[in-house]
Amino acid sequence: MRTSKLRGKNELRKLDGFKFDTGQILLIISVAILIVTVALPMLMIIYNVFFYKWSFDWKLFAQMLTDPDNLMAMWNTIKIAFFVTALGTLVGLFFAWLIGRSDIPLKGLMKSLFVVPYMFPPFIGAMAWGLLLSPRSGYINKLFMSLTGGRTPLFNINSLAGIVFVEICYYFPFVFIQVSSALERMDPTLEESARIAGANQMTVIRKITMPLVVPAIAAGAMLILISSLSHFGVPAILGFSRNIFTLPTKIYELIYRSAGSFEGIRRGASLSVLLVIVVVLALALQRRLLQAGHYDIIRGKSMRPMLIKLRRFKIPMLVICLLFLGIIVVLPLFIIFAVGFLKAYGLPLKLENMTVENFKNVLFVSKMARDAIKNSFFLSISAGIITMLVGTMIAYVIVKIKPKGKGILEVLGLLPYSIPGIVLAVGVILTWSGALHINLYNSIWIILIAYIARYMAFSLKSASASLEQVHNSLEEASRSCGASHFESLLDVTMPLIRPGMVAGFFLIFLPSMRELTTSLLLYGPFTRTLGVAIYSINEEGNTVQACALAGVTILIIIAGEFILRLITRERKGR
Amino acid sequence: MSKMRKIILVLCLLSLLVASVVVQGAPKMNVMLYSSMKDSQLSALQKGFSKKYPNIVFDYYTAGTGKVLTKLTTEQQAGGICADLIWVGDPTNYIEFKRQGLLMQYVSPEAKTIAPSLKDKDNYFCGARIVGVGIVYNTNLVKGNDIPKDWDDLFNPRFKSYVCMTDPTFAGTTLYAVAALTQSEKYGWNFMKKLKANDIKLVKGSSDAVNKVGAGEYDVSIGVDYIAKDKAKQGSPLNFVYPASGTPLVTSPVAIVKGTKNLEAAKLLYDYILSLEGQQVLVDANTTPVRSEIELDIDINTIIKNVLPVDDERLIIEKDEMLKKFDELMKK
Repeated sequence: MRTSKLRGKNELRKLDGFKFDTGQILLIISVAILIVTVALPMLMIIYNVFFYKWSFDWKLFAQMLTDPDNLMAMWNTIKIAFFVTALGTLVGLFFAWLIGRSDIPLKGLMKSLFVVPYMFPPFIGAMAWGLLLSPRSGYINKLFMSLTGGRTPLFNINSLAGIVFVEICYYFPFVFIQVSSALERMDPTLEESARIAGANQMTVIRKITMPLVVPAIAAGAMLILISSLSHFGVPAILGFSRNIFTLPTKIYELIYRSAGSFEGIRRGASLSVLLVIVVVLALALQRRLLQAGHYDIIRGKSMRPMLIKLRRFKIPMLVICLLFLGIIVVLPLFIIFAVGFLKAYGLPLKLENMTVENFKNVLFVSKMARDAIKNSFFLSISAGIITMLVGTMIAYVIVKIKPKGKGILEVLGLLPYSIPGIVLAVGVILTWSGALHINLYNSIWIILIAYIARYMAFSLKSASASLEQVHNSLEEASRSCGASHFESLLDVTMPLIRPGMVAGFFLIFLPSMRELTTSLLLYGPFTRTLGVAIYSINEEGNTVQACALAGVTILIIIAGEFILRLITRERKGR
Repeated sequence: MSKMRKIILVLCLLSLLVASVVVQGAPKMNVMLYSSMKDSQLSALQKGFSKKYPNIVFDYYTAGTGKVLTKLTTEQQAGGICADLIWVGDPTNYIEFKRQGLLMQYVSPEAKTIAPSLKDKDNYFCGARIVGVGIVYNTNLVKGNDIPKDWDDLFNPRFKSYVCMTDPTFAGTTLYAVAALTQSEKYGWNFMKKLKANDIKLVKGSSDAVNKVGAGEYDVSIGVDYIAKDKAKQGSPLNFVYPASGTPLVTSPVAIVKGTKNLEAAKLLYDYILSLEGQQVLVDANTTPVRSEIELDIDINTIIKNVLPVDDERLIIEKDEMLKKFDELMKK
């Protein structure tokens, strides 16, 4: 098959009389784009850490590595990621099983509600939990102290445990989503036969269900691990005031405190290398732990699995689910909007203390807030369009043209996915602030470049998925009718994957709207994004306005999510 | 999805994109101010200035003094400062700017009546607002005899671990206040040691210190007058105290950057900031003006007489050392 196809291609090329065909041109462009946006920043980091004025110099790295503060930050990062991954996986698994396999009521509603934390920006969640559980001023702690009459708070959110708690709230959906869909695709007859053979409920779960969903758990847990290791927002908002640092927040602190000097950036870059090493080691370790016993039978047709009857646990379980959702979704949302309407932070949440002034201020008066809204829209839409188009092109090269060395393309495209945002930002600074005679520092373009690199993997994955569903024969048919490669691409393949491309756009647009980590290192006087503006207003101590702007951001994200749902639903309906 | 809806969706996105790019009508003149003033104060100034000079577009960048200085250093290294005027921190910053040759001399007609102690003798910069650093307390939590009146009241054991201050690394006003306190014969570093003994906590911004007292996270803090007064006016349960034995006063000067391309507009903005009109905008935001013609509800002259002074030259030399000493003492 393959050889005949290749021969066909060569003959066609001869007929066309061209030196390069469309495929090769696309390949070259793809490689070039990925090298510029992804590979270059990474190389610049390595170069700047280990070379100084063109000679090898590992002293800085060694010095950074032995600094007790940095080691403490590394240890915190590992601790937080470990607990978030372990507990987050358990939480995700429990609820996925409850909703996928038991006869708990209100399933449809809960399924969509459980995905909500996934789109909630974690740093806004951290702000919300700070408002609720700051040791003495948090509303819950205040209530608790007024009830007990003491001065001991219920829980201090400004601690490692607090950071772990908030991260779990927003990362458990990774496992939930993966396991839910694995459970849906699993062949229920396997469980049934075990039951017939006399196994009881626990044995079935332990021996059949669990092993079958292990790959899904592993995939979800890996996402949690990567996200938590590289996460910036939550430890920054909850940890700074108590001098709790993780590697990403330490990198930010180093660059920020050293007044943006080159030395500071070099130090930040050294820690970036350390962070990447930690991520890679953690991933390797996790792969070893979870891949023992890989069962690959998850391709049953979607038959209706037998539901486990909860009987007398039905209502308690429902209460647990609703309570959990109330705590992690409703409560933070409520507090953000409530404080956003407050005249001044610290006032009791009563109607007479409410005003719309803050919302009016962020939408119509504050230049910083308006600039931020404008910039975030510009960045998200442009990053969405560019990344979606480039990602589709690269996916096309990988999936359809299958050139030699497509492995490099895949690795380069998916690399930023496991590279922490803060590391990417450091790389982008090193690359685009004059080192290559192009200085984009302080301009909006440097942020755009970072977004494109950061979200390339999203676009690549979604485009590959839709391209794989378009059978090769369609394009071949068009080619054999005399259309050129480009024409058949444009008239046959493109229309078929268009809905996937629109969905891909939103997959980039939405996270860009709430992006904080990379923009925080890259913003200039006029290029604050929504995330940066909320973060700076909050850090400055103007809590009520930070909440109002956070509220606006959440509304924008909800609207975007709604449009995305509309599009994907219609696509399924076809 | 119907074709119509798709088209509408695409159009919506495109119009958003266009709307986010379009810059309204090309102006004749621009002026850029870097400042550590609050966004609300600057936008009030911007409003007043734009009304007076509709053909000048006045833009600003606001952040803590530390961040603004970072930005200036970065831009200087990158080959050009984007600001036309700088209005941050305290006189020591400006003495250094002056030495680096960053500033331009300018004698503003509005500066005539401003006290000579607030102005640079060579006219490189001029004080544009006065910030007092004193004690802020939560009126719901601190009552009666516990209400602090002087610096020593911060050692009240009742406030143990319920007292905070801003990390001077991050805020120019606090840095200046720490200098005033540690340079004074009466307080010196002993004062800081006693604060540490009362388990004082550090926060990252001068607004944050006040905000956290208002929210009840802390009972008292070393805080900045206008921020506390502003929040109190909004309804936060706060009060500001000028300590009996002396208040550190920071005059944040304004200056024009040398070599600015927008000199004419920069001069107009400089004048506007120092004018009665511009100073009144500050007064409305509870900031103490530099023009003594403006009537205030506090007796500013007594407060100025009772200032806890700072030797600027000494601070310039000792700044890094002081911060290091502070870190060693307070952050362990």
